[in-house]
Amino acid sequence: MVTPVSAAGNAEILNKILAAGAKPAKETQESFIPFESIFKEAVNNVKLTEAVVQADAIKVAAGDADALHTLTVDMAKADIALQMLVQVRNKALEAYNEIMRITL
Amino acid sequence: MSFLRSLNIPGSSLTAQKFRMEIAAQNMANAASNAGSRVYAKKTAVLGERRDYGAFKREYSNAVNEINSYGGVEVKSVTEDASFKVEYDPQNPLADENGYVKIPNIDTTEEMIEMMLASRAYEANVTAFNAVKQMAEKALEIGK
Repeated sequence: MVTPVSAAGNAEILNKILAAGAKPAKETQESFIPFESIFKEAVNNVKLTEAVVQADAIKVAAGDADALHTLTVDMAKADIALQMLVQVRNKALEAYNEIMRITL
Repeated sequence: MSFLRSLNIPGSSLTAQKFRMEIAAQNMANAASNAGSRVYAKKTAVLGERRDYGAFKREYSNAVNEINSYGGVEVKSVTEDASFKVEYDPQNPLADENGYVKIPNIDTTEEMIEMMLASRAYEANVTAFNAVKQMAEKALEIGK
């Protein structure tokens, strides 16, 4: 026989589960996963280089001729950062597919 | 040294050579300037090694390690040469009592050569930049 659970009891149970769920997440943040940090760093790199390119493009469009080669240099850097992110993603996908192919 | 930082070395050289070209153009444009009895002083850009001791993103990079601080070249100072030549021109309103006019000590041929040097150095550094960029791209092809 199923015991009906009241709405208030539901909320308490949910809160307990959320509190319990929050702790393991914090612990995994402290543990050092090399691949995750590399991926995060690659994404951060792309963000930073892309922001610099935007700022440079505005300067060049406004007529600051000094920034012209700075723009192309920063565009090359953003290009390399993006390619590295793409390669990291490819490797991650390969690894994931490799693991999923393991037949149980 | 990270690849993106090693691209700063040719980048800094592009800036320096462009400045050198601007100085040469300024000298050439002012080859006859002597307004207000103040003769134009020929300018020379002094280039020196640039070290970039900025913040390192990775913790294990040793900031004392000299190789990590190579930052290319920068213009350290602009020296002025106040010497002048005199030309005999008594009709000139700026002539002194003996009829001599001071004109800047600028040889336009020298300035042209300086411009060519700066231009070639600029191209050489663009080639260096492309070479470093190609190395980075090849590195990303490992394991493809």
